[in-house]
Amino acid sequence: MSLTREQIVEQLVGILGEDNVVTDEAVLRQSSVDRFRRFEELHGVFTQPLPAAVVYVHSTAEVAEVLKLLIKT
Amino acid sequence: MANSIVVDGSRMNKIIKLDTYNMQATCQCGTPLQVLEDQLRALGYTTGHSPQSKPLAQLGGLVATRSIGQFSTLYGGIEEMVVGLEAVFPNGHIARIKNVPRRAAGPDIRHVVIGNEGALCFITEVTVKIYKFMPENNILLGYTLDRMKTGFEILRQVMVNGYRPSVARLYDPEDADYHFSHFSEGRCVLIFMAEGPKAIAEATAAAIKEIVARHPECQEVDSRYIQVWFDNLNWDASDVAEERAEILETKNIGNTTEISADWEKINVIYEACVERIRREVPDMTLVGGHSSHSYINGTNLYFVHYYNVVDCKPEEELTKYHLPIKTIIVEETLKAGGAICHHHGVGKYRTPWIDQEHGSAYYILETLKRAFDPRGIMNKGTIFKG
Repeated sequence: MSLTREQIVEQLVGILGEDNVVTDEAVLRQSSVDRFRRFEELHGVFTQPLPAAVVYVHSTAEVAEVLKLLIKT
Repeated sequence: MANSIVVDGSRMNKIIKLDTYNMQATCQCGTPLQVLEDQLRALGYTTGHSPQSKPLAQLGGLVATRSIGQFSTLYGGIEEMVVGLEAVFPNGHIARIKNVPRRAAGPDIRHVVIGNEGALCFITEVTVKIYKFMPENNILLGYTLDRMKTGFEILRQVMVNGYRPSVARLYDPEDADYHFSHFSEGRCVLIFMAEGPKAIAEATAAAIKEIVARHPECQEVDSRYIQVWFDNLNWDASDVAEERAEILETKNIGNTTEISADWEKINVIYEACVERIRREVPDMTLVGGHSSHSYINGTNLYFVHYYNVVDCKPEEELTKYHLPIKTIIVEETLKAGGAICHHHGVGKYRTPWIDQEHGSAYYILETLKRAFDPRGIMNKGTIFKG
């Protein structure tokens, strides 16, 4: 099963609720890099592809549901 | 990774149980180590884990990256602290590894999870050992000396004679000048801390003094200097913010690369890397390092490398400076037979050498990936190529 970016986000919202699925572009940009790329990041340059979402999990069961969704997509 | 999902476990931050009878603490993955450590210390206990990132790091991440702390020479790395844990595998299977003091029920499956860097599973709960906290018995010792080779030999003698200081660190002159310019005077710096029950701390400190005294080039440093360093070990959010402002202002940036090797090889790697980085990489302002985690059969080296970013776009900084430096350190370590990652994990940037690091044993590692994550959905490109 191949889902679009929008469909993945929609299904994640179904599992975790809207408040726990972040798609704000500034957050996605920050999450596309880590400390290793802080020089370019500090200069506002983002060279890496963006994730589709940052999701907050609150229980082991939620982690399992998220991974089961991702393995199917 | 395009269209990847970043799963953030920081809100799973409950301390589940502090068990001071069986000497273990159980936490959810997002529990900050600082929070756990503060609660334990208030009760007279400690995890013994003290990475520089303690104010920022969380238990799940510390286990996933196979982290180590500044007191490791006594307490060990995180792999020696984890009792049991819970992890979720890519198919949704929840595996709980129970808390027992030791067992021989097949291979130690904790080690499939510890250090997996999110490439095999997601850690949701961790139980770590705890120890009595006795800071009143701490004894700090500091010395300056001429040569790294002498310092490595002193560390070796301390370890092979059966002593376990919690801190055992050796800085080369450039790295020492960065941390201890008020007393290092262009020399190497050697630091120890003995801790634990009073009699053990005193015996450890006495033995270290005796071993150091056999090396006349060592000069003792006022322990108050070492205390100041000890009281400012860690990095919190304000240190990170300060560093970011400095980088923007000065265009000077520093990074670190850590490796390990046995006593015979460590100085060979140190000298080869420092020489090559100075010769091959432009605009360096600091090339040095320190040993900060010792074992009976060898030690680590934490290379520290700072450079001015000159005549290049921000996105070229990695390829012009940082990656060539990392490559030199990895190449020289592999050539000598050391390990290319001591405690920062593999990440994406040392993955290209992972098969050379493991040689014929890489079979074991790649089979784990195929078995647990056959579709390759977990932290792609980390530890495992592709």
